[in-house]
Amino acid sequence: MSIVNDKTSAVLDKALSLRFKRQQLLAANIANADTPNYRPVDLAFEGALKDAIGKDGADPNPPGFERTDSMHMSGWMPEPTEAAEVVVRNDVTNSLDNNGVDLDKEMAHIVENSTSYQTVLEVSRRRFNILTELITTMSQG
Amino acid sequence: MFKGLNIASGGMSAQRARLHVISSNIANASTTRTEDGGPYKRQEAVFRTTLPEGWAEKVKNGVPTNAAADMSLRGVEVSEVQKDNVPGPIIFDPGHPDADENGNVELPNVNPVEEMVDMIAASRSFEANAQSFQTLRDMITRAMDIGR
Repeated sequence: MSIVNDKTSAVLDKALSLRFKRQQLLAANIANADTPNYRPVDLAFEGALKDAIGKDGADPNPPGFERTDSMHMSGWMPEPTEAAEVVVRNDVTNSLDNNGVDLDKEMAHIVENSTSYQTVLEVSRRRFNILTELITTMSQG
Repeated sequence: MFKGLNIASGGMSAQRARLHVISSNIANASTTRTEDGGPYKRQEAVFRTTLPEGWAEKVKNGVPTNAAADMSLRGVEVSEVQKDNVPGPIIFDPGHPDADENGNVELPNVNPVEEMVDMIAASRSFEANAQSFQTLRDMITRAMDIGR
């Protein structure tokens, strides 16, 4: 663990790679929107994250963080090792050829996912800017 | 990293191939003479999923269990162009050069309205793939810009 290689970076990295992976799965769904018997696939990592949040009912705050008000955000951070499973979505069958892809839903997923990706990317970018700022200030003495 | 782009572009090619078949159907909506004899029969592109690059070999040798994620990145291709052998409408037109001895002519089994609907569906699917390609490309470009 160092200033550039800490838990925050690990979480951001993981989030980026999972979002990217999901985008590729969604691209595969869209490409196969007219393939008979194709079932859409997705990543179940949002569910996994939620599970992780609710796991221990105890104070999820990491050491060093203290909430002085119940309305404050928790300092909880998911473990970056949280696995995301590829799942087959079996909920919809709206066509005669047993294809489960709903193009509108997939497009909505694509927009939602890429927006999330860019949000995480922006956070990473600002983090790097802070670090760069810190390094230049330090080197100027 | 570029797997998703390949999948999206594969989807675009497949939809384009489907559009070609539809154009052929519309162009031949009243063709009564073909090299096989008889009227033109409408054709349809049949899609199937493709395995990711290099996976055909791996599948043959037994798939490693942790590979479910890669296996699910399936592209699409046109597996065949199938002929629809439903008989076309028969009209009575003794003056037609392809009329039989009773003066009946079998027309192609192409319904232009159905073809137009199919054409719109294909071009929408093409656009969806193009959009998915562009979104992925934007994501990659933004990631490249992170250090600036």
